[in-house]
Amino acid sequence: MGNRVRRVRTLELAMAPLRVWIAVAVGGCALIALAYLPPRGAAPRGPRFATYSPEPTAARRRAQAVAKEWRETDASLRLLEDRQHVKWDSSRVGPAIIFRGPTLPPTAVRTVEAVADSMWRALGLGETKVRAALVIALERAPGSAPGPIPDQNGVAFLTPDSTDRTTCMAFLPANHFWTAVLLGHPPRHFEPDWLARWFQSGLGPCAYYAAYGTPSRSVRSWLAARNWDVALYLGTHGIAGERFLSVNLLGDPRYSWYWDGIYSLSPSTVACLAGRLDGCRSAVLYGADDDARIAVPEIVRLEQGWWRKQHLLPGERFLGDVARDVGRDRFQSFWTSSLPVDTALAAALRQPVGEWTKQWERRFIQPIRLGAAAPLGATLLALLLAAVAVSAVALAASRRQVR
Amino acid sequence: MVMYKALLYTQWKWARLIILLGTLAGFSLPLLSLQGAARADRGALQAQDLLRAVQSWGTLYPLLAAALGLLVAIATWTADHRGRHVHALTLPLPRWRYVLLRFAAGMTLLAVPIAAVSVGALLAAFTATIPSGLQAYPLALSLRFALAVLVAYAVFFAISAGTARTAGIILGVIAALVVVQVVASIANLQLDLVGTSQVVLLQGLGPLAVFTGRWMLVDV
Amino acid sequence: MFRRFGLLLILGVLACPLLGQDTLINRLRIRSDSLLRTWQQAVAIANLADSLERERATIGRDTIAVGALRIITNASPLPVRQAAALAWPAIDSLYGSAAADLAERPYFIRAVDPDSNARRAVLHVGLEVPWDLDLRSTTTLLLTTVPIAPPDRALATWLTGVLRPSIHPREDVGGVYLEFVTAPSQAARGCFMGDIASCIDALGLGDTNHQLERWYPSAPERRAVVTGSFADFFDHGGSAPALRECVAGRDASCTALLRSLPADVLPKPLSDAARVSLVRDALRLGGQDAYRRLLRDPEAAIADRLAEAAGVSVDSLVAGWRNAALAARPAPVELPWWAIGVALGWVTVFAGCGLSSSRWRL
Repeated sequence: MGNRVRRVRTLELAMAPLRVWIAVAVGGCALIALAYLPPRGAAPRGPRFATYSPEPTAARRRAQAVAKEWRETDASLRLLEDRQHVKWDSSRVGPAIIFRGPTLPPTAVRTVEAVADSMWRALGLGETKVRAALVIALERAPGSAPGPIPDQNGVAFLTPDSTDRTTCMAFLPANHFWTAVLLGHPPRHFEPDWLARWFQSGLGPCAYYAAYGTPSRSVRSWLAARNWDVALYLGTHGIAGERFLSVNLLGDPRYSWYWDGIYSLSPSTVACLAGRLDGCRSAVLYGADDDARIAVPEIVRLEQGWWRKQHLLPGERFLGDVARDVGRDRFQSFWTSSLPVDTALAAALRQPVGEWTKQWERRFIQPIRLGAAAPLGATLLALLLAAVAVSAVALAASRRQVR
Repeated sequence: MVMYKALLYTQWKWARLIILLGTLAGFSLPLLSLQGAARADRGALQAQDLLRAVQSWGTLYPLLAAALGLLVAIATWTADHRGRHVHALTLPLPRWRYVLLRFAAGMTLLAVPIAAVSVGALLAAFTATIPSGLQAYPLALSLRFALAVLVAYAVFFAISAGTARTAGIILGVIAALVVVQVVASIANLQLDLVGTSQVVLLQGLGPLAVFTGRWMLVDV
Repeated sequence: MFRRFGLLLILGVLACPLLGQDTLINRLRIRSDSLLRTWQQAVAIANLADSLERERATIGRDTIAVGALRIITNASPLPVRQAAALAWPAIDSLYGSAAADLAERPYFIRAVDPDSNARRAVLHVGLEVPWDLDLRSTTTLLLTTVPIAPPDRALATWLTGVLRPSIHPREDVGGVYLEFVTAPSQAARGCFMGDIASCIDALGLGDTNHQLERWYPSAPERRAVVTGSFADFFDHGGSAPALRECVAGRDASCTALLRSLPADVLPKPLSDAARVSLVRDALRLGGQDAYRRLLRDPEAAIADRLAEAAGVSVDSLVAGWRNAALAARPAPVELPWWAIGVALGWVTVFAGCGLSSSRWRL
């Protein structure tokens, strides 16, 4: 009995300091939880540098907003006017070219038309039901015309509508570089195919209209809801040659701005980059459920930095790649199908949209890792390393001698 | 079992301050990292800012895991080294078993901060207002932390268990690697030992890759 | 009668869309004109608001005048006057008589609480600076934000920016020396060896045709440029095979890759800093009116403008600049006297630690 009491007493003595430590740990955690739960909110980090640039006054911002509105209205007006007066040259197959701004010498016009024709043929297009016209606005000297300075990045498209079902207009502003090229003063090292690539990227949805005609209402509504971001490029390369896919603009995963770029995209876009089926499906079908009202006239405008707002990366070539993969007939049936977009697209792809898109995404980027889980292989190797380390110690201890 | 309890008790005495501090740190890390995920009327960060904050705080988990593994491993062997292992070798059990018991006792103690990280992550995830499109990964984070602690503890356990000669050999190998790299760079040889070791150990499927990468409690 | 009516009806139906389009165009035209008028008014109001904002920025503020510098700032511990006194000689010596124009282009500096959480009004004019900036940083700020009128497009393109006074003149010229000896270009090497024509080429002042061949005449140079500056850029899509061939030593591939770049992207053998230092030399040689002469004829070649500004031929100017760069060769090994003391100090500390170790106590 006395021994048993002594053992209990010893255990109690041993446990007494343990209880204190446990109490301190639990109490500490409770205090931390009280202080931080539920989350109290935090202020975003301010700029790292001490000096700040001035902001425009409210009046200046309003002037800029009015200027932006004017540019859009003016571009729409010009496109509509040009559509009325476009002259089709029966000797050519390519898109009609309309120049605005300084007058080009006839030789330069002929060169441009020849390049446009060869680009048109390279896209596999010839005589088409819907014809395309490229309106190229050359750079003009500041103050040479009334109104704000035109936006050199404001690409716009006027799709066919009830007033003209067979003409698609593309408005392509030429900046300083392209104006010099078109006026016959290309910079040194100018490669001839750059101009064809520029025209090709400038055609945008008009290339699809020319190749496949007017889309069905459901497809058109889907594309309108997402500002045609999956049908901007019909060619086989990227928007400005193979090196310039919008996905390449994310940069190098080793740097923090890579993740800043990733997280600036919508969650479904990010999930698709991570190779998730549901993410890819949502990214592709964004806007498919909305019955978007298609404005008349429908003018599609690409804002500066449009690639940062894409719902799918590199979305600009998505439908172009679909068309190449499934073939002309199946794509045509999707394009003109009255079925909902997800059904029509899955039928054309002959597999679920998410599945195909996931595989397509892998052509451009390795799936990114989201969340906190470590890769399975690394986990197994880590466990193996731990087992080897402990076994080595056990083995060494077995051979240890006392000296 | 009696022997395990005895070893656990002694190790507890040596490492209790480390365990206590590690527990508090482990519990507070997830809570702090989600401070921006408050209700919108209480200064909630936008999804992008929140993810950036979670990513920044995430760098502390592997550091905490490595520090806990290192300190507990050192504490585990210090007394044995001081007594020149005489006590251990006189115990009535095989030496390999003694090593395993020591390791198990250390891991048992480290389970406390691991549990603290899990509880903290779960609490933070449940109480935070997470923007739509994002989700919390408290279990994945806890598992990864446990794995990192295990690996760090095992590696440092092995290094600490060795003699001064073993430590010297390890340091010598690392120094030799650095010297060879420096000489190769000077001689303009296409030899990137440090970079290669980094890739092999820390990236992709490397055994220490669990420490690198992003530890995101909240992500897409 | 009915046939005529039917024809009219068909024509009417067909013309409907066109009429609709005309109506739309008219509507857009009216809207465009209206927006244009609104914009003109908005611009006038914005100009007025900006000017009022500038006026407001001066109210209740001190105007500090040092030389032709005018700094409008609020009362604070920021050492603006002392910084201006240090900055003015450098500004004056660079821009000469043109620096007098700065009296009409003041700095607007708003010194603010360095606490980033403190509330502050929106800044519309000038710079916002925390008032705990030290004298050195404030001087640097004044030198790097001199409100001088920007140069013409040709000069700005050649310089890749705006000309500012040097903050570390000695180090800047020393940097040019390093470029001479390290740039992977025979033009830069030739310049280092004393060939003035090579210097002119390397600075982009001579004939700009065949620039690739002039700057990087040999195959190893072109390969070094591709692998050193554009490896990541070319390692995508269609250019990746050419990059691999270039790395493997095929010069035609390296040349083709470099030719595919826009001309202004080709790395210069001597950097922008070298060009800036040449302009500074020209202004120093040319005296008080040199900067005005430099800007006088934007259509002229840069070499001629530099010669005009410096008052000497471009060859003499470049030769003098090269000699100055050679004279500014950085010291290969510097051992300041205090470094010896520091080293000995650390030796003593570690020796003390070693001797007081418990291992020595028996």
